[in-house]
Amino acid sequence: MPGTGVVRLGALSVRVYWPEMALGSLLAALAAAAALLSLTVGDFAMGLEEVVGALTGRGGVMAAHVVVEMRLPRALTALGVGAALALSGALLQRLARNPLVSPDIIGVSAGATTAAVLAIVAFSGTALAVASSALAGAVGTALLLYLLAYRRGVSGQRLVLVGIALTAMLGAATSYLLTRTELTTAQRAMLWLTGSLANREWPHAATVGLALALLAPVAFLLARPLALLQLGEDTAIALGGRVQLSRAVLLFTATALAAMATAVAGPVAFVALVAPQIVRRLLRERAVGLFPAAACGGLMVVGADLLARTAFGGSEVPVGVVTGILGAPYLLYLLARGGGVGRGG
Amino acid sequence: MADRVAERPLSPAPAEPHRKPRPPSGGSGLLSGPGARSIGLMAALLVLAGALLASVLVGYQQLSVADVYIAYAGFTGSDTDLVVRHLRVPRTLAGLAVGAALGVSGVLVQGVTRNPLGDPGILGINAGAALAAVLAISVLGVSALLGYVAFAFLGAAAAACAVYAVGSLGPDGAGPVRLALAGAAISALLGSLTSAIILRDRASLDEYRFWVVGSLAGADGAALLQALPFLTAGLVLAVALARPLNAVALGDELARSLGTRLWLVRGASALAVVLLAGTATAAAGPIGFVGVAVPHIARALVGPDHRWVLPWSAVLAPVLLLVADVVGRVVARPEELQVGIVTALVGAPFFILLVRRRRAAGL
Amino acid sequence: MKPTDARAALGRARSAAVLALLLAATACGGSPSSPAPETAGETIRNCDVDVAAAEPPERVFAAYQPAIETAHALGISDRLVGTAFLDAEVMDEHAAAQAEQEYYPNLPSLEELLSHEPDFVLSGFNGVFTDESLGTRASLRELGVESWILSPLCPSEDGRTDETIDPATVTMDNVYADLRDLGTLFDEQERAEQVIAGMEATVEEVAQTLDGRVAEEDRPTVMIGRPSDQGFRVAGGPDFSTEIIDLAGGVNAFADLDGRRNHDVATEDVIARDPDFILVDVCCDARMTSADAADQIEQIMDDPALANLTAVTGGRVEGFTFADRSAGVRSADAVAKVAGTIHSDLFG
Repeated sequence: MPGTGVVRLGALSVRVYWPEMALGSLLAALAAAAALLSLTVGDFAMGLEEVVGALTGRGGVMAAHVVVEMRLPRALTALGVGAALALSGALLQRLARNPLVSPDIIGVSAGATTAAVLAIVAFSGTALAVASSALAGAVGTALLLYLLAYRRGVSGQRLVLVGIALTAMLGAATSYLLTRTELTTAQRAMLWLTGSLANREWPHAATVGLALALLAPVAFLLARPLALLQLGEDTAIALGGRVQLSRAVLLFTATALAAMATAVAGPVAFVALVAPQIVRRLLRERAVGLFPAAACGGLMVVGADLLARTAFGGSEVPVGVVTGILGAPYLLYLLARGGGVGRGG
Repeated sequence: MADRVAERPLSPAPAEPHRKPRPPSGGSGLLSGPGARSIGLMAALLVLAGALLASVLVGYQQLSVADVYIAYAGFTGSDTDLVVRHLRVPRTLAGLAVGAALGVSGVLVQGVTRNPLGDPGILGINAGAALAAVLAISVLGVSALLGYVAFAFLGAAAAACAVYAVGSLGPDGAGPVRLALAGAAISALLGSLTSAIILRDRASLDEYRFWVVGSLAGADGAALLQALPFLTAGLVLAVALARPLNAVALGDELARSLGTRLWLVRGASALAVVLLAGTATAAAGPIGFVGVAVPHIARALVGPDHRWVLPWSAVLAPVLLLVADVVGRVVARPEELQVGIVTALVGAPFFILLVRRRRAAGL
Repeated sequence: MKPTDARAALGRARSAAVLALLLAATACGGSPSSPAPETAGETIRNCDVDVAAAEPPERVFAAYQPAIETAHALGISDRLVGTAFLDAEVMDEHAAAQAEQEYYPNLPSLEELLSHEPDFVLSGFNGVFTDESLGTRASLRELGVESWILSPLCPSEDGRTDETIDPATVTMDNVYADLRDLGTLFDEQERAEQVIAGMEATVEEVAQTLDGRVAEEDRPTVMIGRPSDQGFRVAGGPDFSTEIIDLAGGVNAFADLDGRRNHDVATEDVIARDPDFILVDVCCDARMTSADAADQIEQIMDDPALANLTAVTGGRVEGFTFADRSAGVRSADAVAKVAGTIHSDLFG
């Protein structure tokens, strides 16, 4: 492959694909810039000077709180959630060799949503209780899905069919919970299940940061064996058990990343699906570069959150609304162009 | 690439030795042979009659057959008479109509997209109906329950048209996967818009959260009569589509070589689905799962021939819906569980069992 | 906590204790009829949270109908920096004062709230002080913002939005107690006593009129609710409606439904209970009035299934508002309004 080089660090050697690195760095820089910009934007009007003042410990207690305890963790959470979702999507799309697979299919979103809404409606849980509950719901649903679909191996079709049934049950449970509560509680739950970054604070940023710190290296380290999977199922099977193992580990990694991101911000639509595809198109490669995909995801969510906070008049909308309104037309555009998506590829 | 997903497993399924290639129509199914299927269908109709009866008799107060008889033969205007004539019977008929519509439209969607996971919602019907209903409430201030039924139907139809239009933009027309993808994308877009509205308008959220569950409790005789022509037209269209859909199941090329006009079959199916599922959704809200599950159950019983799958689905779907509705009336007294919830909670485990027991019958 | 903070806190606690003892001593020595102020020195307790009461708040944000109307009634309209979330038009006497306020149809974001630099948030509902909304009361205090929840709706714990309400707190006396505490807090004691006296007079007048004329078993049954997709959504036992109907000489037809304030019931349930009166409680918009119930009243009157209901045959389906159901300064008027509806012969 042209543009590929090998970087040696002692005994470790890493194959580097330079266009991918360049694109990834560019996207990461843009994401960081958008995150910085978002520190100056919000309902609490502040000049740049005041923001810097707040960051350096000068200025009033409320301004400091707004910048340090609200905007900064929110921006970092947005970056982390975007990166985690995009990584998850990129891994799943590679594993399934299908550009349209996203974490929703493996029941992560539905499970997280029902559990979170249960925590909100039935136990009026705190934000962290809701996030923990969502995480448990996501992981539990994914496990249940594999368990129920397992019968002398997991057939893809059975997995999807069982996934649909579970999603229907969970969706019904969520709707039921929404009807059994006061309107204000329903509003709170609705906000969560649209995907929102409002009032995300340091514990949220730390949670998704930790998930990335633990899981992203696994994804990058196994990226090579993963590339073999691109050759096709038969080749991969011929290569034997090690590939099967990395396949399983990567599936787990993708599930866990999506679960953590969803626990923190709710099911933010389309990022996992679209971010890897944008990178794929920019690089004109079949393989989705994980680093640029993650950076692209971060940029998407930070950017969407900026829009969500500023573009809709007085009050902000949940970030999931913006990613949905922007992401869906992109998918339609891909469809209308007729290339790759929706036909054999 | 994506085509493969819809038409064959995501990853190779373990070979099931007893499965042999079979002809696309006739063949497998628990009931083989026209005799067994006809007798079976008679039995299913009897079960449906039982479900209809249970739906009229069971509820907040238990009624007897005599009560029902009196309500029509010797109407005195007593509470019981009113309950029978204005609540139980319209609700039961709504269950019958909505169930049949959802079951049949599920078969059509799955047949025309050759996607065993197809659901009327895939054409954007639920999302379109929801957005239109929410718009009617928040922008036009429609508050009467019947007021937004018309909007919901128009929204469902408009969304389905948009999905079909986008799905047909590509070089080879409305291919099955393109249709599914266009449906998913447009549903997501409409869903985001719906969320944006209901999160800012409390009154809309309050209506929406109840509407979206799907319920037969609001059924009303007059609305049912208005819906009848749409449902009849949809059902007639579905009957006419049974044979062409069998041809479509063979694949585009083979179907074409057999003289099937694919664009006509697809267009007519989409129209029938809008008429059936659009009306059902407008009348009872987006009741999920019936449309996707019942055709599978029917195929498990009678194999993939649409001439059998359609009538069986038309009978089994109302059974599922009516039983779920009756269960919902008695388990949470004095409140009621909406039928959309019970269908999913009762139907889904059954469906999972079915999926585990055998490979879902192909198309 | 740093040692200096701890010492300071200890010091505060000690001086508070001394002050409390002094107050107790004067209370004992003074005339027994004057009630002992509930202030424990510098704080007043509200929903298990001690609210600092040394300085009257100057910049108040009021959220939800009862809080907004309470603020106007206590004469602190000029101290309001913002208002949010009305269920209906504010009471006539406060319309002018409310028209000058900045108003948010939904709760503002925490940033938006802080941009008003409030020192106090007064809430008429317990859905405000959560992590996702404006933050817990404890977290607001760290920013120098004290808070209050009208106590018939206390959550079980700070940060929660419980729907399970202790029925013992759902009383008119609790509304008075809140007004008294808030009067002390805002240094508007006299105004608070005037408001309470006015409300007590209204309720008392109703009680006098009813006294001896309506036997316990003749109390009409009243349903407060509105049609829904499923049938009706009605006010159950723990809702303040029950207290209002009771004081107005009626019985909540759905008083036995407990656990939550609102319940969804089947149409057949309404037929079986056959309430004597149906009050349709429209909600939630700053311009809403009971006249907006007209469509829903018509819907009930025209429903063939409900044709036999006493309320329908007698033409006793009336407009009401959700705001009238809520515990607050309008509750006495709500009692008079309900009494006038269900005992029109006595209150002609």
